[in-house]
Formats: sequence, structure tokens, C-alpha cells
Amino acid sequence: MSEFGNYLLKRVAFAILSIFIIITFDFFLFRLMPGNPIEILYRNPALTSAQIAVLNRQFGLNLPLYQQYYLFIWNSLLGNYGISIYYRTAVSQVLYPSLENSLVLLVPATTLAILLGIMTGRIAAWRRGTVTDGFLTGSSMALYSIPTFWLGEMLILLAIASSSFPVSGMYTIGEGFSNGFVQLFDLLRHLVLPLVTLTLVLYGQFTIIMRNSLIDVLDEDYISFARSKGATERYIMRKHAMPNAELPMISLIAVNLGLTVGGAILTEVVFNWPGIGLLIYDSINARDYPVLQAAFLIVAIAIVLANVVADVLYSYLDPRIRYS
Amino acid sequence: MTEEQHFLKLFAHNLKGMTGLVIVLTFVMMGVLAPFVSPYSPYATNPNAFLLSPRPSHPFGTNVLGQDLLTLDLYGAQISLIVGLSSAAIAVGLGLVAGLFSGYFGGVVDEIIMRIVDFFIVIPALVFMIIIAALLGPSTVNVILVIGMLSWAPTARIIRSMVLSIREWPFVESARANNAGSLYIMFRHIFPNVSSVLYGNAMLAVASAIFTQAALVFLGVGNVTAISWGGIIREAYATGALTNGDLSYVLPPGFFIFILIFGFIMIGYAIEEILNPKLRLRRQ
Amino acid sequence: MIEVTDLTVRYGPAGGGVRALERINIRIEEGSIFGIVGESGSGKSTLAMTLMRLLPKSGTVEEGVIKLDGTDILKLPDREFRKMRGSTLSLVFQGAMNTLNPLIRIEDQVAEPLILHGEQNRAKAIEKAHETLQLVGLDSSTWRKYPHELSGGMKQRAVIASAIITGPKVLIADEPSTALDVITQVQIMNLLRTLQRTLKMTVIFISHDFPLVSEMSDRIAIMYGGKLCETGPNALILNRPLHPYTAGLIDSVPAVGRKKRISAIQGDPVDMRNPPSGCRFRPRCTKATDSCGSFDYTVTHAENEHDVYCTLYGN
Repeated sequence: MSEFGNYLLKRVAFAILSIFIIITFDFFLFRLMPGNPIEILYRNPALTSAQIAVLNRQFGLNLPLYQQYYLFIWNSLLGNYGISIYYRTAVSQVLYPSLENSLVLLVPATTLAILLGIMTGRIAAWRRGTVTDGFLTGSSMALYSIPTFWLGEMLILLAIASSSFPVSGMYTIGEGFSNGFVQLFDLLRHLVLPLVTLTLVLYGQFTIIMRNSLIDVLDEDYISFARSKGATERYIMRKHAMPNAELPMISLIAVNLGLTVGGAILTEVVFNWPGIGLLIYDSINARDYPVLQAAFLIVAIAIVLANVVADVLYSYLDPRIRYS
Repeated sequence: MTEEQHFLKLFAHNLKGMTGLVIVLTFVMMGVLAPFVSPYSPYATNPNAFLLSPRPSHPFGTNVLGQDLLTLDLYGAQISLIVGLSSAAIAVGLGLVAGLFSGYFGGVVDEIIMRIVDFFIVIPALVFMIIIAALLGPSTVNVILVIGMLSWAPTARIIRSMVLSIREWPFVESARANNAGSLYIMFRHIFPNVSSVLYGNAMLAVASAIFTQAALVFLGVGNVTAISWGGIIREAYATGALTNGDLSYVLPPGFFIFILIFGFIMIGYAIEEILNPKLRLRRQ
Repeated sequence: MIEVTDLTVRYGPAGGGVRALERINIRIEEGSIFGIVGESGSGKSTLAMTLMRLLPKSGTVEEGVIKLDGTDILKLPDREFRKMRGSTLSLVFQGAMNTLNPLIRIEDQVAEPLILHGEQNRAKAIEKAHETLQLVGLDSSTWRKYPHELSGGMKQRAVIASAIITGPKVLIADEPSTALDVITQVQIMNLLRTLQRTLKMTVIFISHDFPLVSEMSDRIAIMYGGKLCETGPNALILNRPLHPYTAGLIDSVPAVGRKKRISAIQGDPVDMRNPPSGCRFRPRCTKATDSCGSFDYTVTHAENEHDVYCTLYGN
């Protein structure tokens, strides 16, 4: 049990270190770039003198760099990300709603992609070498190859041509919703296209991961042994093969979260979904560096934390780690 | 038959691999021949012929500046291949060196390198790239460097795991006993044994670099002035050609990106399949 | 009683591929230990898998009959035979280290055959698993553990427990101790012998290790290149080997305390894709003559059911 505790401790320590490095990157990236964008922007005439005074106090912009760095770490951990140049409010007020909107898209898309991927990967592995497998593997690779933003645009073309689903935003603009149910329905209609896009591009890779993982497992001795006990193929799949193949999926999903987020950003931009990806995109165009800085920080930290959760879950589910 | 010949023979019989190879070679031809076969100059604008729909003189129509879209689509192969191949070369090179050092030396070196690898695998690369590319300003070289430097971690991880086992093989032991230098052993003895996996990995790296380049251009960072497929798609999106249902504007560039990426992925997967007998299709 | 008649198994497509077994004839008495010796590629594991009807998809039984107490098990419908697999016929696996599922507790894996063969009450099955685990020498501290927490020898005991829990008539043990150290190996062998006696099972014991097989078995069969060389009572074969391959095997065994030069069999194992004509052992045989090239594996019956397939005998 102490081994297990050690393992978890190590992962958590690594996560803390990662977050520290991310904050450091974030600080220097925006300060050492040509022209020192941050300092220029905090002297932006668009901000009121009161706001600049607050920023100066919070971030110590007149202090030496190492003190600014120290203050930046502290502020990052406290959630003080400064003031948005474009929106002229606290960054967190822009950031958190975007984060929520992103999750509304990201969570169902990832879940769907994983479930579908497990299903088709299972069929492909089961029928490896057959036409079915060739078709499933081939189409998964094709889905994996499709540029997210282009797939989104193709769906937009289709949707416009058939005038079936809204292609932009999260709610119908200017609509006064009579009740929560109507609003939810409007949201779901807006969700369809981005959800389909993101699910499709993520789904291919999960199918391939599942298939290869399952093929490895199906070659193991314990599968043959179960067969020699008189188990049916269906039973072997359910009881022996799938659990062993799904386990590595947990860490692979976590590790691939970076890619998933990349796909989400592109999807949000194409469909004008007001999530953190669209926020990043808009901030680049508006040169809103404080928002950009904070968005990077929050996305990176979220992924690191998700990986810690995956590690804990994995080690809990795998007795080889739990009882080592 | 040497191992290389054996590998080539298996590759020649691999349907996925050969399909991928044909696709990639077609696009290489397209990029090389673009200046000779294109009906127009890619830079020639024509204010009288902007946003034309497809017609015999402009099979894909024209863009806002009156440039011929077919010409632009043909030229687009160049930047995708250049950025894809160069970024992948940087990524795979860095990954190879990191993996070799990590696996060969083990201990603290390994621990440090692998934690860095973990870090780079976990961070959201696209967000990182967007920000860096936006801050660095538009230049193809910058895009290549950014993609290359942020994509080496998966290669490093795979190479390391291979080196760990190869390190214990007798010929490495004997080279060490003969006082061969570490660098010499790494590149002379270990490298040849990981090279085939490296090729498979490199193909996937090219595929993902092509995608990333297009995505960056689409998002408006990276070199938006060079002719690229991502750029054409962005333009179509920004000028409303998309919402106009202008299929010939949006469809070809995205389809080219898709097929080119697919080609590299097929090659990479075929190499992996040949090297990992478990994944090899069983024809029985 | 098990009677194998003219069993021929092929891997790969009809007309091509590899004949892993060719015209094998074996009779195994009920309640005895029957040993099968051969190097890798001799077909001994294919024989085990054919008995269990667990050949990989590429394997086909070209001809032959396997009768278990009079019924041809190769003719049974799949469904029917699956009921026998793991209950009437059990298999202890080669490469025991990965034979247990890493995610399932030992007691559950041992109880699994009972549940697969109709036991509805899980508690009852687990209770029986505990009894069986005790029988193979694993005490209660191991029952709820996971495979990685057990030593190699303990894992193999658990594998044996799950093979015998249903009280099978026939236990096939394919290299049951190969991956283990010598002392554990002896313990596992003793365990198998004790179990065979107390449970009155027929045991088919397969190994490349000639001394081990001959120590365990009542009767043995020696295989080479998918063919039988010699079958007969253990003592007889050990003292008076008839086939040159058997003699070579016996000479290549070092014996403690005996001053005798050991001699290895010269040459390379047979290439099954391209086997020599006639006797498969011919290229390596010191006693080969011209007639061996056209040998059709006619059996010669020596005394006491000692059969040999060799041109040196007969006629």
C-alpha cells in the first residue's frame, strides 16, 4: 500500500511541478517577446487610471522582473488574471463563462467519441483481418485525417442547404425565451453541428486505439486459458478482453486531452461557439494579451489536473498498481 | 535478403502503405509541377473577375482578389509539404536524440527527460502554438520551428522504450566492453535498430504537422500571406463564400489537406503494422 | 480411455501450409499418466490444442479420429464440446506466467470454470475454489490476491487449481513447469502426480524435457517433426530405446554422479515448411540408410505394446 501511496504522491508532485512550469512559461512568454506586449498593454490608454493603478499594485509592474514573476505566480494561483484590454473587465469574468460553454461542448463530444470508439474498435479487433475490420480501420483513419475546421464548414454548407440546424453561436440571437425548456431546446439545436464535428474527429482515433489495444490483449495467454475453461467467445470478450483493453484507454484519453482541446478550439471558431477556444481566437485578433495569457494558463492547468485524475483512476482500477 | 529488402517487400505488399505512398507522391508532383501546369500566375489579381463561380476558364472559380482558385489549390501543396516535412524532421530529430539519451543513460537523465516529455505530451500544443505563433508574427520559418519544437515528445517516448531493451542486447554489451564511447554506441549500434520505428513515427509527425499548419493559418496565425490550403479555407470563411454555399471555394483545399494527411497516416500505419506482427492482418 | 487414430493437422491453406501433425496414433489408458516428448516444432502442443479443440483459426484437422470413451470428440457440435472443455477435459497452460488475468482475484479465476459450467451460486463456487486452492497447497492468504502478488510457482498452482476444480477426467499439462526454477518445478510435478492419484485423472503430460517426462509417466510418446517416433511403456523406452532419435535424447541427458560423456544430436531441427522426404529425422540420423528417404512411417510392433516408426525394424 505504501508503494501505491508513493506512486500517487509522485504523480501529484509532477502535476504541481508542471503547473509551476506552465505559469513560468506563461509569465516569460508574454514578457520576453519582442516589444514586451504586456507592459505596453498595461499602459494602454483604453484603461482608466484607476484600473492601471490596481494593476500596478497587483502585478508590481514597476518592480524588478523577479518580483513581478513572484507576484504573477501568486496572482495566478489566486485567480487574479488582470484586466481584459478588450472587454475592460476582470479577465476572470470573461474567462469562466467561456470555460463553462466549452465544457457544454467538450464533455458530451468526448464521451460520445469514446463510447463509439470503444464499440467500433471492439468490432474491428474482433474481426481483425476481415473486410469489416478493413472498412472500420480505414474509415477511422479517414476521420482522424479530416481537418476539423473543414469538416465543420462542410456541415455548415449542408445545414444551410437543408436549412436544418443553426450554424453559429449557442443561442438564437435576440430571442426572448419564454421558459427554460424552450431555451434548452434552442441550445441543443445549436449544439448539434459542433457536437457532430468534434465527435467525428475524435472518434476515429479512439477506434484505432481501442482496436490495437484489444488485439494485443486477445493474444494474451489468459484469453486462451479462459477458452480452455469452456468460456464462450462473447463471455471472454466481456469478462477478460474488454477490461484489460479498456484500462490503457484511460491514460491514453487523458494524454490525448491536449489534442482534444485543439479540436475543440477549431470547432468553436468555425461555429462561433462562445467557449474558451473562440475567446482565444478573438483575443489574438484583439491583441487582448491578458485574456490570452489567462486562457492558456487555465486550459493547461485543467489538462494537467485531468491527467492526475486519470492517473488516480487508473491506479485504482489496475490491481497491479493498487496492490504493489 | 537483407532486413531492408525484406521490409520493402512487405511494404510493397501492404495495401494501406502503397495507397498512402501513391497519394503522397501525387501531391509531391502537384507541388513541384504547380508552376508549369497552373493556368494562371498565383499572384495575378484581376479586379474584374473576383468571386467568380466555376466556369471553363476558372474551373474552381476565383477568390476576392480575382485570383484563380485552381492555381492556388495546386500551389497550396508546396507549403503543406514544406512545413509538414521540415517540422516533422525537427520533431523527429529532437525526439530521437532525447529518446536515445534517456533510454541509454537511464537514471537521473532518464527521469528528467521523461518528465519533460510528459510535460510536452500533456500541454495543449495547439493553444501553445497559437499563442507563440501570434506573438512571433507571421513567418513560415517560425511556424516550422514552433510545430517542430512542440511535437517531439511522442517520438522521444517511443524511442526510449525501444532503447531500453536494445541496451541490454549482447552487441551493445560487447561494444561497451570494448570501450566504445557512449555517443558512438548510441548512433552506431542502437540507432540502426530503432530507425524503422522512427520512420513510421515520422510519417505520423508529418501528418500532424500538415494539419497543425493548416489549423494555424485558418486561425489567422502563422504565415497568412503565403499560398496555403488553410489560408484559402480561412478566406472562404471570412468572405462569406461559405455561407453562400460556394462549394468549389471550400471543398478542394480541405479535401487536399484531408487526403494528404490520410496518405501519410496510411504509410505510417503500414510501417507500424509490418514491424508489429500482432497488428499485421492475418490472411488465413 | 483416449484413442487417437491417424490424426493429421494442417496450418495454412489446403494444398499448401504446414502439416504440424501427420498420422498420429496414440492410446491413452484411463487413469494413467501419458507423457509426450518433443522439441519445439515437433507438434506436441498442436496435439494438445487439437485434443482441446482449440486450434487457432489457421489450423484444420485434415483427417483422424479422437475418441474419448468411445465418442469421437472431433465430430461433436461446438456447443456440445464446449460443455466438455474445462469440465471433462482441462488444460494447464504453457507459459504459465501470463495465464491468469491480471485484473481478477485468484479465487474468482479458480471458481470460473464452475460458473461457466452451470453453477448458479457464486458463494458455493468460491467455497469450492477455496477447497481446491487448499488442495494444491495455496492457503487462505492467497485467495483474495491478484496474480501479480503471487510467485511463479504459486501462480502455476492456481492455474492447476482452476483446471481441476470441475473434477475433469482428463488433464492436459503442456509444459506446466517450464518457466519455473528447478525446485518449484519438482514441487509442481509432485503436486500433479498426487492430484492424478487422488482424483483418478488421466493426465497427458507434454514437455521438451525428456527426463522429467519419463520420471512422471506410465507410458510415453516421442515426437519429431509432426510425426511419432516411438511409443511405449516408460521403463522400456528408457532402457531399450529403439528409435535413433530417442537414443540420442537419452544420451544427451547429463546424469548427476554418472561419468558418461553426453552427446548432443547433431544438425538443425526440421524445417516444417520444407520437410525431408521419408523419415523426418533422416538428415540428422547417424544410422540413416538409403531406404529412409522413402520411409512411409509403417509402424513396427515390438514387445509389450512398444511401437516404433523406423526402417531399422520390421521386415
